[in-house]
Amino acid sequence: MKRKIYFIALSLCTIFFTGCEDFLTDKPESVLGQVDFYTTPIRINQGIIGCYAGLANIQKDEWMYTELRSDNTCQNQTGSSDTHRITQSDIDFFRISSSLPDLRDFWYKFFQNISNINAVLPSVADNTYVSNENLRAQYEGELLFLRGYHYYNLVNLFGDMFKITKVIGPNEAKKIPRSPVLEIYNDIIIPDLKKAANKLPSTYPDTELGRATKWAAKGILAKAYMMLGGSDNLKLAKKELEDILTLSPHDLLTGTGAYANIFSTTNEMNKEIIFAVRYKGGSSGIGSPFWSTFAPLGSGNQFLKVGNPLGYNSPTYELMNLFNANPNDQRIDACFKVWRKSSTVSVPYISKYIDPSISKPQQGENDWIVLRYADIKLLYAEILAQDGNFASAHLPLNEVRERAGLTGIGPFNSEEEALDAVYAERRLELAFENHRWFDLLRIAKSYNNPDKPMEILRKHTFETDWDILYSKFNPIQPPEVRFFIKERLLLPIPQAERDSNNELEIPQNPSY
Amino acid sequence: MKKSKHKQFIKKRWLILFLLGISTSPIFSQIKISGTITDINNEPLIGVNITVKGTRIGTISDFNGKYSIEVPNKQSIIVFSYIGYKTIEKSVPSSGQLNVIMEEETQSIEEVVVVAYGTQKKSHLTGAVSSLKNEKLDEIPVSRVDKALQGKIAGLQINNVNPEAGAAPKIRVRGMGSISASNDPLVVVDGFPIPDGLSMISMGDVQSIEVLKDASSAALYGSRAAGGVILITTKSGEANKPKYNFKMYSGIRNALKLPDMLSTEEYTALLFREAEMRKQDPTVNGIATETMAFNKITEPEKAAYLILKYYDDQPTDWVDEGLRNNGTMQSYQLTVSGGDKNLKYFVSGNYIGEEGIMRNSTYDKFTFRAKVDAKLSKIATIGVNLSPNYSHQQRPAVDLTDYMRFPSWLPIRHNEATAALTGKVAGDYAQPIDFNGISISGIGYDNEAWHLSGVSVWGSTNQNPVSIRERTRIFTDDYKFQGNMYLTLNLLPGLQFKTSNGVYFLFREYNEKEQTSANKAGNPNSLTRQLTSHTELLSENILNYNKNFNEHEFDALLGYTMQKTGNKYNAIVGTHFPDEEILSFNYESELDLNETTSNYRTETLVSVLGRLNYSYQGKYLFSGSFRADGSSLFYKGHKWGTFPAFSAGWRASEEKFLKKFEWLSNLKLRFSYGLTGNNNIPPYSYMNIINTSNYALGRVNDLVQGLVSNDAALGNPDITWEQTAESNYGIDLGLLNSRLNFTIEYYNSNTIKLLLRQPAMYITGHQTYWNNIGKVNNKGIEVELNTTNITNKNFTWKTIANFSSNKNELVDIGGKEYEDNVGERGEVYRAIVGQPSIQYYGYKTNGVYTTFEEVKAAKELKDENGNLFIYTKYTPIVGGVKVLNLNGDNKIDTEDRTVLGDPFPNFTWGMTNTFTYKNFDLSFLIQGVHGVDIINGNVYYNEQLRYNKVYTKNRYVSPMFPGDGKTVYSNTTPGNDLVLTDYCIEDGSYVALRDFTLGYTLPDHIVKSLKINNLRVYFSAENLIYSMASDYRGINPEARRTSGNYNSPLVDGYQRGAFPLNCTFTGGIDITF
Repeated sequence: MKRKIYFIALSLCTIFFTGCEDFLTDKPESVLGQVDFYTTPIRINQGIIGCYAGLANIQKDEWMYTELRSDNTCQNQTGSSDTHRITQSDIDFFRISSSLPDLRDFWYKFFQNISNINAVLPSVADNTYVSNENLRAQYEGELLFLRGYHYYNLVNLFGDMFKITKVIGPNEAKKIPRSPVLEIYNDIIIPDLKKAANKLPSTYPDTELGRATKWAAKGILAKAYMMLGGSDNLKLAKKELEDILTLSPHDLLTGTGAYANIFSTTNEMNKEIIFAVRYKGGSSGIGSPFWSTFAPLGSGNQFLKVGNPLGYNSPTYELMNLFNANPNDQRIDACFKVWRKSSTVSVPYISKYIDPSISKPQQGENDWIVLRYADIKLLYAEILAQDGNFASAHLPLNEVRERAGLTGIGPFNSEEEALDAVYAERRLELAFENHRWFDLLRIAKSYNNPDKPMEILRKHTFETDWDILYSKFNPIQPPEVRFFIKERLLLPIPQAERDSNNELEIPQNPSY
Repeated sequence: MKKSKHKQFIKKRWLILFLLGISTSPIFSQIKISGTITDINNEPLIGVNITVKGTRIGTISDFNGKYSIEVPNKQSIIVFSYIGYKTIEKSVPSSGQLNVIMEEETQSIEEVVVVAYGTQKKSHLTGAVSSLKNEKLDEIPVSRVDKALQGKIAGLQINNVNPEAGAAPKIRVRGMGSISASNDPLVVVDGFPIPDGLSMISMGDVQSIEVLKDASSAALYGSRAAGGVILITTKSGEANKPKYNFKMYSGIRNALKLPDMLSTEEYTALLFREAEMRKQDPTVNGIATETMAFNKITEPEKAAYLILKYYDDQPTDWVDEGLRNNGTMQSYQLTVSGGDKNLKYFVSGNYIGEEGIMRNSTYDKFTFRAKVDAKLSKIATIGVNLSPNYSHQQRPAVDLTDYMRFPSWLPIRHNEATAALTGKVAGDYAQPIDFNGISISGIGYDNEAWHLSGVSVWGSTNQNPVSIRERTRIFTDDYKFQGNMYLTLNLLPGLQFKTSNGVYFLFREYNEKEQTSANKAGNPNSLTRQLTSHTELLSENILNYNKNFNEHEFDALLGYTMQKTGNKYNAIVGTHFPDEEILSFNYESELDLNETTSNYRTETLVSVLGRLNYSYQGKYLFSGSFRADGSSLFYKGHKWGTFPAFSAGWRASEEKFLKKFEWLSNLKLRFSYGLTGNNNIPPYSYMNIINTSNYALGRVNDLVQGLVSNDAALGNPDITWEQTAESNYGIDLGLLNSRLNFTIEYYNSNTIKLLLRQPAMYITGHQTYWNNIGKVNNKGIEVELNTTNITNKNFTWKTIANFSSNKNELVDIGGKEYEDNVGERGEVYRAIVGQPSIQYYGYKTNGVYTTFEEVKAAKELKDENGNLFIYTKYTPIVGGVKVLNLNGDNKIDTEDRTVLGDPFPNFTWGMTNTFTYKNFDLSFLIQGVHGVDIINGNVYYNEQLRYNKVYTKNRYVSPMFPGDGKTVYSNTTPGNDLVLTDYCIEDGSYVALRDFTLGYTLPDHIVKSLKINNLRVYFSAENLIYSMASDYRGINPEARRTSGNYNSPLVDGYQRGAFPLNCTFTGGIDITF
């Protein structure tokens, strides 16, 4: 009997100790880990595609922190107690709170993508994974382009920025301070975009359209230089712009209805478009929300085929008046429309992102154009205005005006006159494309007056739109002049980001 | 039925006199027996009943324990009985002298209690274990075991958060220990941990339920025991003739309380009545006014009135439309048990059908069980326990809130008139959006002609709830099976080996069918199917050794267990089916790739465990145990956790010096200390996970697959077991022959190495990460009282009562001072170190602004530098809340928020009284929860503020008519979000007559004539009386949101448009034959 027991005891122990470590090591079946994942060309490509998807994710919210804050659009349901609308009013009127969950979410999306870019980059740099030199250069260029572009946006929206160039863990993150804007430009934005411009191909086959090209990198690089300002940087920017204007396959789209055609869902990636964030409508889950969110509130399915129109990002009356000052402008209808809701109520809405065939709520086909040829033309005019060539600044400007069906202007007699004309034209030509905010930031530099952007915004909000949107009605919280200060050109750093670091004191932007 | 000793005594005294008087009479020439009756300590027992079996002859012992009785013949059997002592039967001695030593009957103390991996005599327990035998628990008309436990056990808090048919309550044992990982207790059915054991078991199968509350009792389940352990033991067969039992009940249920909503007519009348009041008010008359009109009726509201007057057939009572009247509740159960000494069996089948208060809320459950135990030889015993189970639940597609928000002017379907008005088709569902931009004229409420054009009567884009409900079907089918086989080998005397191997699986099919436009206009029809399969494989191998010698008792246990859990989830969503009748996956025209997902994962656990119980003289009790657990949820090097425990007890009442106190039947002091663990975190939390992240490329926009890490969770390879260390002090007291039993426990538990889902810095590209950081403390007391108040021949009265109070304190949260979590309306739940883990955090108000002067003064407030006061939030307005400036600066902003309440009850209690009178029995449970604050999210909705009478009664009208000075005027406060203020904090305390059962058991002679063993009929009711706190404005103080944001352990206490409470009446019958 005793032997029997020993036998049982022994066999139990054996089963236990041999089986156990194996038994406790779980090989996930439907879950992949990030470490050591990007080890084949296919997987690396999938990683890069995922980073483009990350860009598409950021782009969905960008209008709220650029266009909405500019004088182009507003939250026009001033009496609504809907949380989203109150949030949008707060953003619009520069009284945004650093604890706003939406802001934190927007911030998160940037760093999510930066982290993903940093996870794929080392595998691209290592030539053991992708042997094809050209392909490797392209992959590296795409990732660097995206990272450079994200940081360009981050420093312009939030100021001093965390420098993240590799995948980091929870404790490492707490040791990273905010680096000065200039350092981010010098260490990340300029070198990333420069390298990208060198490595990226000029064109792609039809099936690959949408990937970043050399010209996309050069365009953003030029914008970065221009944002830095100063004659040296303008010179560098001019070079990049000239490259695009002379060497790239891009050009202005012309012909009847050309302007509207740029944005058509059936004419995507046309020759005017240098870089766009791609969305696909239908059930694939990678559609764009723009038409669903911009279609006029209360219009049911009159304009928007499925889902609820939200009426966000509504054009300001000040901008619509500018457009209407010139009824011949063929861009008007392609930019905004006014829905006559009733005999007394008119609802304006953005018409640049109409998807007539939308089949699923929030899943539109419209791409978001980040960089197009007309933008480059006008940037070029902006540089000519400033580098002593203001007399010829009207030339690229008029090419854009001509397509809009407008008469030419110029030549200009002074730098200021030229600048005024260029910024006015940029506002109309690029309306609702999230460029106005960055233009306003550059205006501070171009006119050498840091208060100028807020002066413009204050004037446009309180002098023109006030009467129509706020004074007559009972808005929940009308805009207040005291928030229209130059410090508030920067968004606050999300409070939670500061709170979750118990090692470093992360400074908040002034006035928040 | 035992007789009351005292009354008996008085009665019998007459008998003594009588017997003494006649004992010499020659008529009674029978055998005379006499003697002394003592207890084991040789103390005489007074008043012992002495009877002759089968006759009416009887006597009692006198003050010296002496007795004398005459019996008819030598074959007579003499019976000695005495309450609290074992009954003794003796045959007639030839000497005529019969001294008897009676032993104390320890039935109430010698009770055996199920503990982790075995059973223990209740007298030898040293931990905090509450035991509940299934006595009529199965007559309570609820469909789940857990709901029947409400209010019955101290320290076990069952919160019926959702009265929907078949919905699970929220269960907490001794408060909330963990703040990120799950706090659910471990449920063990016949030794088998089953995640949803409480829903799959049929109450009729349950023998007993034990709750292991302190760490030392639970530590043997080490790993997952930090939330407490609930052990369920099912019934087994007994060596007997086949015993059949049939039970059924059936009844109806209705809503206990409904929201009282104003109809459109009443609402219009209210506005005009208020206008009249304003006209009388000189303060309003003085300021005339575009912004301050007398009548605040708006054009849409006028239009609503006209639609009702001229177009509707009758107003719609939306709340009533959502409810089912007289929902049914029924249960049928048949059990057969029996066997001989070698083979025992228990077989049962049960059906429970429940209809909820809301339409489309039903639950049907079929449960079967077969249990066989066979003794193969002297050494080996084998057994199986199989229980298949099927349930079908239908859920309503809309909450009651959605019905409550809808105004009565809106018809359910368009009639000819409204169709003409809106340009829709008669017979189609009427939607609010149909009435946008209409023009309407008529004679208004004030007998003036009202002409309205281009009015949007109600801007809501929601669909009418009836149209959603009727076009949506949500079903969950659960197929469950628990199977278990054991083999016991008695290797040596006292040494036993038991191996128990089993499987549990759940296959769940969830279907959601939506017809076209069901939820939102233009939505395509769709079918969502989610398939979940969950498997648990468990092998437990235990070696048990028992040894008693002299006054030492040893009980040792050694074992190891292995468990593997598999979880498979597949979801598929199809849209654009050919028509509404064909919602099947062969016919969809599109698959929703985004929603079509799959998730397979496994989890393994290996454990070694051991326990040694030792008692000396049955008085000094010691127990020590340990368990080591390895879990696959943690990364290499962090997998193992050890969970030791120790406890000791002293049965003071067994000591000589206390023995002499007769009234003291039991006194035991207990202490225990132990560690338990928690690994309830999502798998793979130790690594960054790659997700699909697709993009479109190419001229024609082709989908291209992308793979990056978009998971919110940042991997942390260092995470390991959370541990809870708990000490428990207990006293058990039994008085007056255990007629009064009293237990009090004090515990203090510290959860350390808290598995905390910490916010990561977002610059990592992730939002959160799991970390072992932070501490939570729970301490509290529990009292259980069990008394036999009255027993006599015809009448008994017993009371079981419990009381518990727990105090929760967050001791550390990763070095931070606090952490905020938000709910669906942005309301903040702040976890502050040194305070309860959840507290509502928002603005304090002091009534409403009632006069214009007050508002003006508030707006013109200046600080000492002459700067105007800033209202970044809550601009002063008459009829709007007066938000207090708490920090004394010159603005009202987020810095003025403070703690407004917490969701933890101060104390909870329950009391069950059972009466029997002859063949009648009556029992009822009164249960109470006190000091709970809840957030009533209804105030977020304008429709609630306008139409719900609790918000319009006594509301502010004008300076002269300020109402109660506390209730806001609904329309004056746009944007001043009331959910963020104490305006919505209400007292969620309640006292309820939870269960009530009145039964009648047929007398023996009738039962015999029917050739059955037992027959009982009863009437039962749930929530017969229910009392809520006076400041509570909702309809169900127990309801809570639990999904979405409220899934987090740190976000709790919010309700919105809860389902009403049930009030159920059933009648039942119970036959044994």
